[in-house]
Amino acid sequence: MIFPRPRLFGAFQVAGVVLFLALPFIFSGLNFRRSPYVLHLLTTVGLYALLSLSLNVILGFAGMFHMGHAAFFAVGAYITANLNLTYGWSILSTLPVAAGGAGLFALVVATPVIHLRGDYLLIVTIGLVEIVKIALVNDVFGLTGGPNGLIRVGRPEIFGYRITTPRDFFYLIWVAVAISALLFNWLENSRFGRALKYIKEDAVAAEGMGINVTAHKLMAFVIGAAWAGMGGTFFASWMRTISPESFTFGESVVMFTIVILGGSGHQKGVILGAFLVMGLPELFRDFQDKRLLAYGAALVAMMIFRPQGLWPPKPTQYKLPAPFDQKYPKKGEPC
Amino acid sequence: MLILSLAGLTKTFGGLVAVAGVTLSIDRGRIVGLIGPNGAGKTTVFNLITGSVKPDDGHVFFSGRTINGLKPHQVVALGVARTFQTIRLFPKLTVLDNVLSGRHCRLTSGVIASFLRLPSQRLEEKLVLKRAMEELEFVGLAETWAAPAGSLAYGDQRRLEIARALATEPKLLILDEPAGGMNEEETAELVGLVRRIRDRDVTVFLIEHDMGFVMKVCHHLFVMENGSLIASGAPKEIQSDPRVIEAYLGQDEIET
Repeated sequence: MIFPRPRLFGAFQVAGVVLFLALPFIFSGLNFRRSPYVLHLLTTVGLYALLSLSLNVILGFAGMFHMGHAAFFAVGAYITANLNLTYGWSILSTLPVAAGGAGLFALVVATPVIHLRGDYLLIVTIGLVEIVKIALVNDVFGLTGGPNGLIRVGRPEIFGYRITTPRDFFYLIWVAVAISALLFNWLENSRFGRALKYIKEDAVAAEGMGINVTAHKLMAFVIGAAWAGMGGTFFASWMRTISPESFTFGESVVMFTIVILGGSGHQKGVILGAFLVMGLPELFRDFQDKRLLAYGAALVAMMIFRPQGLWPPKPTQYKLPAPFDQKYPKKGEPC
Repeated sequence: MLILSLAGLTKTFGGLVAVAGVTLSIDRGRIVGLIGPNGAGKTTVFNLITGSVKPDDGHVFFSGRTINGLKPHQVVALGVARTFQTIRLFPKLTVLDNVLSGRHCRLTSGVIASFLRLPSQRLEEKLVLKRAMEELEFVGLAETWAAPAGSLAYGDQRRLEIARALATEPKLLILDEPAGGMNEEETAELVGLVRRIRDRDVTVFLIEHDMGFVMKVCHHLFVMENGSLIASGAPKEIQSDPRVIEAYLGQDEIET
């Protein structure tokens, strides 16, 4: 028996995912001229989906207003670039180090501020991402290459297969998104995930029911940061060049927007949010500057009319064990 | 056997002395009431026991050890559970989710086990659902398990808070105005519920303004006024204590 029934996908969603994953082949079959551009765009969407899913653990599950996620993304990217360029590590072998480094960095910076609430924490995390960016520009410890960043990061290899083309990266990133979504779904529906939900609803009551609020918040922060660090690994090897302007406050705001707009705490909502925030503006490229105006107006309208996001999470579905499943069928379900 | 004793417990907020040197002891397996007029410092005493407020002076002994200075979640883990004067459920979460929150401290699955959905974690999750449903049956709310807690009637929310607290497997259950907002029928049922809780070998310490309820259910009463204990004894003695009548009962109609 699987508990609680996660119901990851219905039939339509399976069809949608299969169709989506077949896109690169459909494009090449149709001799689609703009295929590399579209694949690049979809990979960008995937990267932001990955980063936003990791931010969702902090912002969506635990309800901590964290607007400095690009800082952890940067730590992961620079760790990978350094290990690869200086020590010749393969890209994928840097993945755990990038995760561990970003997680450790999060632990160090979050420990003194984790008790702050709402907007206070928000201000601190904005400061964090700014400090990290300035450190990157100033070539801290001689590891970041200053404003020009680091160039010629290597490509990832899986079982001897070198990942280079836009299609390769499309699959690499989206498989990472799928694995992350699955693991986070399990995490959400566990003792740990439930504790974060209680903390988000009412931290005082959660503490009063025996939940170590500080430890759980810190752990959520570390997990989210570690995942963003792995996002940095993928980003560095995909772009091959990393520089401070990829890790700005603006990037953090984009991730924050994706989570809030898509549906805070809901993985599918967050992925939808990544498509809307990263993809839609590209569709309207022909309108040039006006598209940002329309985009801004759409965000404002959303916050007024649907503050819970486009696709908010539903209450957790539990499948009761016997004999309770017979005794107390859910309303609307046959006995 | 003593389960809880307070020794010279003192707390001031700014210039206001909320609790002034309260000393009392509670025997295991009893239902004990703490009464007194509004602002007497009763809820502060409860907050001092559960660790949500730190005492300026004095000690809290529970089951033979000092627990003041511990964080609330550590106190819960030792076996002290509480309900709140103003209901503090998780209103958007389901009734079942609310009870599961109480089980948290008795479960062991960590982050890794949850991430990988290890067999031990899945077994634990299955057992926890069973236990949570048993607690809901105990308070008579099992049918509502899938409803959002905030949609329950007021009296049901009070009982859900009790189920959530019982899910932590307490040795001492602290109830802050459990009958508050209940009608007469619900209050009568609550008398039975509190007695059944005691029958599970859980000591009950409660604050309540409904004198009929207190006189019926409590074995022993402590009376507070202006942060100090002014009387202690069996309900019958308290009713006839002139100091108590002057401080408290005299201002209120007594229903017995």
